[in-house]
This record gives sequence, structure tokens and C-alpha cells, in this order.
Amino acid sequence: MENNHYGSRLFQRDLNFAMQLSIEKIAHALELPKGKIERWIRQGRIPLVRQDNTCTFDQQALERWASQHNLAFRPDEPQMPKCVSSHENSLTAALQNGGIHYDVAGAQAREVFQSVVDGIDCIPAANKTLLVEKLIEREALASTGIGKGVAIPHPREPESIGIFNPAVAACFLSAPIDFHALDGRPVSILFVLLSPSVQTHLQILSKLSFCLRQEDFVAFLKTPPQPDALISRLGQMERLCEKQNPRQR
Amino acid sequence: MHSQLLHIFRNTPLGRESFMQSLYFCKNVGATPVVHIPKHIKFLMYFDNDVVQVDLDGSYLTDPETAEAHALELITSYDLTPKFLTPKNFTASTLPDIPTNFDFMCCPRSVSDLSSKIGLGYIGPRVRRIVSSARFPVLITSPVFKPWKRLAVFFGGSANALNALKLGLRLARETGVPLDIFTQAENHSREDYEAIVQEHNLMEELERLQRNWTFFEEGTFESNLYVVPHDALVVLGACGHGLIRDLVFGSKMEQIQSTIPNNLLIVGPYYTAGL
Amino acid sequence: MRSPTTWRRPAMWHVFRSDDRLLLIIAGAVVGICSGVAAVVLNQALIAVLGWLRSYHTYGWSVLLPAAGAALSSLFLNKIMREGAGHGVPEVIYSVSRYGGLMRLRSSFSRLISSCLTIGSGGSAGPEAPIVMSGSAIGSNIARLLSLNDRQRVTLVGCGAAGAISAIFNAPISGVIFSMEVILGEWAASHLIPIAIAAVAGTEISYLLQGRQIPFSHQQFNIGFIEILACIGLAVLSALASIILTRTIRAVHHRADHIRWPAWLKAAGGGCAVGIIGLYLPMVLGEGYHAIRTMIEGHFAPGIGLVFIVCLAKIVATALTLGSGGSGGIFAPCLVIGSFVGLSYHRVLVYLWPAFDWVQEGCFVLLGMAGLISAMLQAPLTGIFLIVEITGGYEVILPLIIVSAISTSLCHYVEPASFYLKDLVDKGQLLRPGTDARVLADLEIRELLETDCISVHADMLLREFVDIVKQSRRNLFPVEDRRTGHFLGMIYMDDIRPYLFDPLMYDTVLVGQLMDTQVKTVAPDDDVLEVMERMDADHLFNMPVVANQRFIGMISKSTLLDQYRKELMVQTYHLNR
Repeated sequence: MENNHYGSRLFQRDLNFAMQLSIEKIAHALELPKGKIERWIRQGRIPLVRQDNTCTFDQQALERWASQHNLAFRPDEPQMPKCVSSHENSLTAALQNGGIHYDVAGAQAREVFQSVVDGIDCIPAANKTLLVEKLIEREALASTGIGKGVAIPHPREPESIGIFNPAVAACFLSAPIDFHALDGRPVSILFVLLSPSVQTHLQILSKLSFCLRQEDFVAFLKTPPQPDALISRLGQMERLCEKQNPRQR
Repeated sequence: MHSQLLHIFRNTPLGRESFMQSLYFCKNVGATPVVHIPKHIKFLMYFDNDVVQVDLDGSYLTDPETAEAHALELITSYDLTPKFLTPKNFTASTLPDIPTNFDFMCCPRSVSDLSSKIGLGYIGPRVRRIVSSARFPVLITSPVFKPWKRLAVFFGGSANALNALKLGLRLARETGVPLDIFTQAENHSREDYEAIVQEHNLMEELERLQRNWTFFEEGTFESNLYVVPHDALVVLGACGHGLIRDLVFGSKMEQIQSTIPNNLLIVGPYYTAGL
Repeated sequence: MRSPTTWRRPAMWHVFRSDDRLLLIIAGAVVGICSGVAAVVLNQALIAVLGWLRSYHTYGWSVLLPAAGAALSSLFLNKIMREGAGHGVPEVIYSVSRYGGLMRLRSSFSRLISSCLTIGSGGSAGPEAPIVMSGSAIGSNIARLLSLNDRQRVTLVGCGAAGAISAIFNAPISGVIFSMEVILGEWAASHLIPIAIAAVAGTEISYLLQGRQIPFSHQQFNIGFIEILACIGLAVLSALASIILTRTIRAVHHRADHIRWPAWLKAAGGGCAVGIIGLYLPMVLGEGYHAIRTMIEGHFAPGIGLVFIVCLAKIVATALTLGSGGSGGIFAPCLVIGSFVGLSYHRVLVYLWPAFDWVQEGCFVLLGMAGLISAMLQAPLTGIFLIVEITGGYEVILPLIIVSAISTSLCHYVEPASFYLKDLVDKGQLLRPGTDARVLADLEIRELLETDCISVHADMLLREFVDIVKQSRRNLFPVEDRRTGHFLGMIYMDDIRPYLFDPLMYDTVLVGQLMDTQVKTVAPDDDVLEVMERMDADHLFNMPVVANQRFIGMISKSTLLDQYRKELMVQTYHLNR
């Protein structure tokens, strides 16, 4: 017990012993196994008074005890780690943010990017030129044409674009252009990926790549599909992807 | 769920009945039996707040050469993994310490007295002390092995009885056998007891698992006990209400243990039911 | 945990809840008083029995008295009290170190009665250890009554021991030091005040009931420089004597264990031998305080040779009494033997250099006592303060310190563990607070279990396994049988890395082909120390925990270090303040 001035607290009214928590919550707050807390109570090493499954204690005293023993007492921390809500990282939601654009004109990458970016509403106007430059910069590093006539251009540092929710713009080009793709074929479908952070970008990319791996989906894209059909098909594929990889949710 | 049951093996036909009871319990509940074949006539059990010296009856040391083989035979006949306990710590050279971090313990009605004293109404003083100090429920076996097919919980409304109820629900959930609850409704109505259950968020589970909740409203407790099924494992709390609850066992508990010959799973005051 | 009405748990009263020191002081005083009463009771009982038996010493068959006493005491202890054999104090230390001081109620009075029988009939043993055990048991049971936790209970056990020693010798400081040095093994501030109060309470109750008596009178000694030099020789001699005493007791014990007689008969045999020795050298019987008194006063008549013989006889008699199963302590015999050693050393010095003006022989008697107690108990401070307090004089403190320190060190060199701790150390069961063994003894596998591994089945394809790897947070995967759930083996990422990225193998390889079946497992109730040693022996950092053939989790050295450190900090916090 801490070294109080001897005797001064003996006759103090018991104002502080108000806090009551179950042992499980205390164990969670101290990040220790429950059995260890029970043992320390029995051995008198922790200032808690136990009655059945609840413990009564003085919060200040316990916090002081914890800091003296290099432990952290965090009673308000939520039980489960915060997981990003699935809605924010949903591919379909991102597609709705970015929009589906048909007959995008342009004979080379730069022109195509310009037309696409002009068409995307969710980007602040001031950043549009910057975005085009970033897209071209990324292409220069390595082509984002992944084959089968599809490309996935994106800025290398997604945070610099200044959007808050991920957006995927699906663009069907009026004429295929050379993208220096991996398989050498011209590209006629673009998915421009914009995200607020690298993590979100990777998650969206992973889901998109799952979809694009399926041959029948690529064939479906080449049709080209109507907006509703595309969104619903993408939604289906996304649910399938989440079922197989729950950690990406 | 990984739980362990401690059993002190007596290498006699009477001990065999008791052991079969333990094994049956383990098999149904999914616990591992941990068997101790005593080499000394006494041992110590150090609990949280008490140390109990158990002086065994001489019959516990019968035929040590065949004891292990007999125990092994019975364990394998139930398809369980054998596990034997050899005490590692000794308080004195002839006084081993038996660990107490088990989830269940099996005792006959008396460990210190001659086998003749295992009739109804008698629970030996050592067994009583174990029940009062232990963190685990104690299974007190009937003299002859009989497989139990259902559970009967006695609920009196006290905190201890609530723990017994939680244990009963947990066992019903794990074993899948039907569960009956019995309450002697003295001075309280049925709604009062149900309110207590509701308060502790057990109502839902109770409705799902129980088959019958019988309230004894008239007649003496002993005569009402006739309706307890003969093939039930009885789960009950050791203490009652009132000031002297800490010193002696509850009156209902005493009445139950002197009237019915079923196996009893007694929950002591230090038992905290898990989820 | 029970929820009794609050009046039954003083630790929960408002006054005591935030600071339990007042509660411990009050309880400590009560325990001290009870220990003091126990000491007085035994003392008076011994005086009564000795007085009663004195008239029978003229008869020839009085040789059998120690035998009868020892046999009765052994029967009482084993059959009536059903308490195991043992010297008493090691049991207290064992229970304090391992179980937070829990002791049986019967220990509060059983040793009092049995040692009264042994010593009263002439056995060569001391009444101190039984009183210490009774006092400690009283402290432990009062703690149980008040539903105190381990730390508080240990304090009260210490109070009982301190009260006992203080009451016996009227020496409160020695009581405190003995309790903290020998019984508790740690000098924690939270223990000190209640133990001191208990020591004072014990002393006061002894004054009240028996009157103020310092056991040995105060003599004025003038120590010169040469005497201080001579002390070194005495220290060596006392260390030697203590080693001989320990070894003799152990030898008799060992020999007695092999004889297949019932316990009481062995005790009777030992007693008989003691009786025979006592026939020729009556000063060897019983506690021997009377002999010490005469020696301090300088009136011990027999010459050097006889003193030597008496000394050896006392060693043998003590060994026979205690080794064959008699009940009593080593304290008083140590004092007696020590005084004989001091006396004989002094007489030899006087014989060799008669011209020199040596100090009176009483002084060396005191130094001999201190030397032997310190060496036997490996507790130099107890030895020093005990002698100072029981003789009431401080002039000898300088040579006392020298003799105690040197004899302790020399004895420690040959016999590292003290007499009380020897048995515990031999069985590897000594746990001192704040040591590695203590911390590991508290840790349990269940607390260290990591349950975030995903299990796989042996008949899974590599393709499905790769999906599982995507979700997992670890590099190890336990393999279970699909039907029975039994644990079959482990998959280690390191072993399968080369194959993970080869799509060709995804549909052609089964998980069962990748697993390691020779993996060593741990059971949930294994000793953490053993598990650590196994890990070190096989250079493993992780081991699976398997119960009932089912996998329940992993143990890793990193979690172990984390929990070990937390445990260590909590256990040793008060030592580092």
C-alpha cells in the first residue's frame, strides 16, 4: 500500500471507495489475465476488495498503484478493437462515389486522365490538376494496366488528393489506348482508385483485384454493362470476397 | 471446455463404485479425471483462506500394488485419458500437499471414517470443511453407481443457490440432459423467485433448458422431496440465508442430504460460477 | 467468493478499508499476547514437571524417564493429534513462503504438549521452536478468523513468532529480528510495525504473568584488544561445533529412518540412550539454562577435559532426542553447547597463557552462545541481539559482532543452508520472496495461454490453407482431426514458406503433408519452471498446450517474459521502495 501519512486517512469519510467493477472488466482495464488479478487479490498485492465477482476500490489509489507497477489502468477502453465499418470501405459505395463514365475520349493516357478527372465530382476542383499529374507520375513508375484490357490508375500518395471517402471511377473508353500493359494489349476499361489513406487503398485494391481475377466478370465488363447491372454485380462479387476473406472486412 | 475433476482412489469394491461415478460424470461433462492414489494416510489441501487436513480411512491404502492397474482399467473402459497425480510438495515428510486448482472434486460422504458410516444423513466433518472452503463444487457420490439421466437443481433464492443454478444451467447446456428446478416456496411467491432469476439475466437460458420448475407450496419439505427423480444428479448450494450461514450448512441442504440417496453436486460459498 | 455479512470481515470496515495498518497492529497485539501466554504456559508446565520428577531422579529406573517422555510425546503427536513429524519451524517457513502462512489450528497447541513431555522428562531439546510454531499457528488462525489476505496473514504469523521469542527470553528486539530474518525472510516495512507491537505485547504479558526475569544475570566484562583477537579463534570453533551438531542430528535421523520400528519405539530408544548419558552427566538433560547461568557467573566447577566431554555429550544427546523423533527445538541446546564451547576455549587460553590477564570466563561463554546460534540459524543479527538482550549488557557487542559474523560465514561455507531450511532446500522447496523460483511458482500456464491461433484440418488443400493464412495473425497453425478434434501436429510458417507462393501446388498438396507431428506439447497444469526448462533444452520459443488430446492454445516465451516481469514487479515492489 502506498505510504500515506500515517493515520490521516483513518477517520476520513469513505468518499472514495465508490468505484465498483467486475473482475473481468478490471482484468481488461489492466490488460492482465483474470486469474492473475484473482490471485493478487487473494495475496493482498492489489488494492481491491472483492465480493463475489465485483471489486470495490478507490480509483485514484488503483491508478497510482498501476503506475507504480508499470501497468496502465484504462477502464474506459472498449472491449473490441475498433474495426473500420464495412460500409466505408465497400467497393460498391466507392463506385457510387466515383461514378461510372462511358465513352471517355482520349488518344493517350494524359488526355484520358484529364477527361476522367474532369468527370469525377467528388474531387475538389483545386486538386484536379494535381490528381492528373499524380496519375501520370504513377504510370511512369510502372504501368497500371494489369492485362485483359483493364487498368487501375491511382495516385501514389492517396492522402494528397484530399477526399474523405474512397472513390472508384469506372471508365469505359471510347477507343482502346496503349497503356504499356503487362500483356501488351490495349486498354479499354479504367478503374481510377482514390482513397483517403493507404490502408483503405489497399483494401479497395484487394477487393477489386479479386473481382478482376474472375474471367466471367471481365467478360461482363467488356459488354459494357449498364450502371445498375454493374453495381449489383460488383456487390455480389464483394460479398463473395468478404466471405472468403473475413479479415478484410 | 477443459475442466478437471480430482478423485482420491480407494482400491476396494466400494471405492470402485465411487470411481465409476466420477468417471461417468467426467465423460458426460467433458472433464478430465485426475486420480490420486494415496501413499500416506493424510494429506493437506491449502485453499484460499483455510488449510484442511484430510485424514483418510485406512481402506484408502489397500493393496497399493494393484491400485494403479485397477484405476487404469476403469478409466480406459470409459474411454478417457488417464491422468495420475503425484504430490510434489510436502509440508512434512508424511504430509503431502494436494493442489486445489481443480474444477470439481469427488468425495464419498465420509473420507475419514469406516465405510459403514456412509448412510444417509451423514456427511463427514472433513468433507464439510472441503465444501466450505473450496472454490470448486464437490460431487458427493451415492454408495452404488447409477448413471444419472437428468439434473435436479434446488433453488432457494440465496446468492449461493444462484451459483448452484448457474452451474446447473451450464451442465444442462453441456450434457444436453433435461433439467428440473425445485423450490420450496416459503413466504415468497413464484414471481419473487422468477424476479431474482430475471435480475441476473438467466431467465432466457432457463426457459430454453429447463423442463419443469416445481414449486413446493404445501407439505413438509421432506415429503415433497419424493418427486425428485431417482436418476437425477442433484445440484444444490451448501449455505442458506441468515446470520449463521457462514458457520453451518443450510437447513434445506441438511434435509436434502438426509432424505435422498442421489448423487449430490454441492456448491460451496467460495464457488463463483463462470459464464 | 462468499459474500458474508460485512461484520465478519474487518478488512472491509470503513475504518480499515483504505489502510489496513491499524487493523494489523491491533491484531498483532492480540497475537503477541496469545503467543506470550503460550510461552508462559509451557514454561510453567516445564517447571512443574521438572519439579515433580525431581524426586524420582534418585531411583535407578529414572534412566527410562526420557524414553517414556519421548515415546508419549511421539504417540500424542502421531495418534491423537495426527500431525506429521517435524521440527516445527521449517513448517512455518514453508507455509509462509508457499501458501501465505496458512497453518492448521491443531498446531497451536499440539507442539506445546508434546515438547512438554519430551523436555520435561529430560530430553535434550529446547522449548523455543514449539512455542514459535504455536505462536505462528495462532497468528495464522486469527488471520483466518478475520478473513485477511495472504500478505496480512503472513504479517500475523510473523507477529506470532516474534511474540513467542520475546516472551521466552524477555527480548523484544530479538523477537522482531528473528521473525523477520528467519521466518519471513524479508525486511518489509509493512511487516515491521505490527511485529514490533506483537513483540512488545509478548514481553509485557510474560512480565505480567511470570515477573520480570532476565534469564541470565548481567555481569560486567572488560574486553581488551587481545580478547578481541582471540574471538576469531572462538568463531572458528563455534562454526565447527555447529557443523558437527548439524551433521550428527542428520546422521541420527537418517539412521532412525532406516530402522523399521514404529515411531514411538524409535523415540523411546533415543530417549533411553539420552537417559544413560544423563546418568553420568546430568547437566546434559533438559534445556540446560541452569548450567549456562553457572557458567556465566564463573562458577562452573569441572575442568577443561570434562567440559569438552560434556560439550560432546550434549551434542550427542540433542541429536538423539531430536533425530529419533522427540519433539522440541534446537535453540536452547545451541545456547548450551555454545556456552560449553566458549567455556572450554577460555579455559584453554588461560591454560596456554596463564600470565595474561584474561577477562572472566563468563564473557567467552556469551560469545560462544552467540557464535553457535548465528552459525546454526544462519542469522547473525538474531544471535547478536539475543545475547545482548538476555544478558542486559552492551559492552560485549563488539566481540559479539565479530564472532557472529565470522562463525556464520564459516558455517555458510560448509553448510550453505541453515538448520531450519536444510530440509526445504534439499527437496528444492524453499521459496524466498522476490526470487525467481517464487515468481515462477505463482505463474500458471492458464494465465499465459494465447488463444488466437486458427486451427486447420489435415485433409485441407493448400489452396484453402492459403486463405486461412490471409486471415491469421500468427505464424503457427495447429492441425486437428476433422472428426474427433484431436490435436495432430503443428504447421510452422518457416517450413512451408517455399511452397506458399507456388500456385501449382495449391491443389496438389494436403495440409497433412506439411505438418510436424513430432511436436512437443505442454499440459495446462504443468509447472511453469519445468516448461521453461524444456523450452531452453530444445531451443523452442513456442509450445502448444494440449489437454485431453485437444489443442487449447500456445505458450510463448514473449508472453511469459511479459507476465513474469509484471509478477516480479508486484512481488518485489515493497522491497525496492
